[in-house]
Amino acid sequence: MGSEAESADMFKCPVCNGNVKTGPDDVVITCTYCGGTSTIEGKAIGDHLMEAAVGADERIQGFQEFLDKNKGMNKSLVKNAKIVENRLIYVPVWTAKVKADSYYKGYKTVQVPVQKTRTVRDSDGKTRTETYTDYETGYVPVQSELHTDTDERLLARKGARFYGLGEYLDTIKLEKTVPYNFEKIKDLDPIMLNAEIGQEEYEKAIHGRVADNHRAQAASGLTELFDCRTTSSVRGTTYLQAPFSLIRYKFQGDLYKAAIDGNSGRVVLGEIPITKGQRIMWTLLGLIGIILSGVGGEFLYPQFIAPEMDMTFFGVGLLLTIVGIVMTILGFRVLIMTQRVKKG
Amino acid sequence: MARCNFCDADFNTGPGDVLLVCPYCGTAQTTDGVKFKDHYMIRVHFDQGEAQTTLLDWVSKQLGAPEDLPATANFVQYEQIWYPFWISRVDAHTEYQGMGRDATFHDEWPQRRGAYKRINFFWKPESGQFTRRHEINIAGVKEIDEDIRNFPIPTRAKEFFSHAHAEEFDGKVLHSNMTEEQAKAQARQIAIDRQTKLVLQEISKIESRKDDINVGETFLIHVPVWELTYRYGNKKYKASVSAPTGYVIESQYPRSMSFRAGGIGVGLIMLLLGIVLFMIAFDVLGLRAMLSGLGLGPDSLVGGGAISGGLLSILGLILLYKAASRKEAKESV
Repeated sequence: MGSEAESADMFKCPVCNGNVKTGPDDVVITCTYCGGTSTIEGKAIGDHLMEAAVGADERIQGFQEFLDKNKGMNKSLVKNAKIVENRLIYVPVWTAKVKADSYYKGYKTVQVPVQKTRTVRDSDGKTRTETYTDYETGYVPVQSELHTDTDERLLARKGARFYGLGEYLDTIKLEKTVPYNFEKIKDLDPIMLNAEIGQEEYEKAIHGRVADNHRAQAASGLTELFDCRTTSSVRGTTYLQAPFSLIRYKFQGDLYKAAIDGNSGRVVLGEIPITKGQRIMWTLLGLIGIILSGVGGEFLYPQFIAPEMDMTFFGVGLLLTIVGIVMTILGFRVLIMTQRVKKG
Repeated sequence: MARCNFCDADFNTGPGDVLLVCPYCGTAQTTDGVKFKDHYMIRVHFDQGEAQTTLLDWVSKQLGAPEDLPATANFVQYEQIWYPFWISRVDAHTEYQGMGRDATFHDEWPQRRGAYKRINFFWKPESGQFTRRHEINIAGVKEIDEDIRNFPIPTRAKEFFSHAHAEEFDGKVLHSNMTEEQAKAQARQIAIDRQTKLVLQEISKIESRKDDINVGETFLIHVPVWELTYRYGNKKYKASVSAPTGYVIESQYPRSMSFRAGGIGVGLIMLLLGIVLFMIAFDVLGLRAMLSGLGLGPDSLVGGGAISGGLLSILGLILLYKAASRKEAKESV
């Protein structure tokens, strides 16, 4: 792997006067000598926090626990997984509490049961009326409100994304942070990334994101959303540096990856191989499913044409059919999957 | 042909190239020779060998990829292409007026309180505003693979562009087909379109709008991608691998003969079995009569035949498709 980034810009730390190398688009700079953090104009930035990180061995341990938990019948997974990449990277994250209130209006539809009568002719040719239940559409006006107060985190890099980012950002908790201290993590040889997105930019972006979330949430239960008005306020904006690691590993010659929270050493999202044996087992399960659902169908069909339905046979048939179809889908899905993706 | 305004070297340009990168001194400049300063790159972290190994190890786990692929694949072409992207920050504030939908409800259902039998839509005047900050990423060349265009910028440090670094890997640095002004104009248009989408969620007819669009800092970044071609058997397969992170942006890959044969064989058997069961269930072509020797009752193999036959047919078709199709795989990020 190539050498780490060298940047052409120098930034003079306003705290210790040290010369800090920076990337061209960095807007929040952390001094690599004293840990002082300021904007590129030299303004102080309030609290600058970080999450402590665990060493490579502890990350491997967390990774192996993840494999062990998800190995299934693949007993050799932990032993034969060979790690080829496990580098710690400190990513810049903005986090804040966002309180948002929405008012929305729309409508949804429901099925209303309606008793109706109809005239039928029985086998003797006599006519009689019978009642039956039909369903008609009902329109339900909805006016409601949404109130949330959530932690909103954003990776402070432009246009950037990495494997497991969403799951990783969810693990970031302010309670786990400590004041930034480069001395504590220096020995882990992390890649440090400065922020490219400043505080004001983050707060604007996050207003938009929360409003869009509210709109999506409001629209989800409705047939049509007429209006949705959101007001939001951001408080406690904090800049922190959070440790992340991507582990790439080989199993039976194939390459897989897992995203690691560098603070706890635990996997947040990872890929799990599927062995030949596992594929065969699942396929067998699927085949059994086909037979089961067929047996279920044999129970069901006579009940449909019989004058009196036997609820026991009907229930057993329906149950077998559903279980069989579910087994078939699950079984054959594994047969054609590349790998499993599991959350930690 | 263009002449560098900074080192006087002559170098080749293609039609449509308007922001040029001199292959000798690396200076980004307009066709008039004005230097462009905000020009960045992301460093290569996976050299050619590492990119190739990563690609083959990754591809070999794909469904039906031959087991000897990493050992026997031969790379016949390898080129590092530096793609230009324009990244703009756009502040947008839109005030709008127009007509939005609303409805009145009539005739409540007695058996379901709160639900009405009739709904009457009407238009009502609405106004409001949206303030958003958009980050817009535009590929600087027209002929670019869709997957490369949509791939996120790698999470690695940006640096000022260094042609020496690209040269280490014989990298081919693509000139940008658009100038900073064109990129900004396009970013502005994309931002307006996104604002329009937001407004149209709230109202259906826009009667008037006032947009305050401010295209802020805009920079050009070159991102290196390994464009690889490998031969397996008699066929060639193309792949793109991100040089900073080793992610496989996309790759074609072979499927082994045994996988294809097995898939087609098993798929066909399942499909045939499924169809026969179906035909028995619905008594097509008098199949039930032909099978009377088996002692089928009038109701047997009807429900079961339909369900199992249906499942078998669907699975058979899926297996046939998987076995016969040509495949491309992408690493999701």
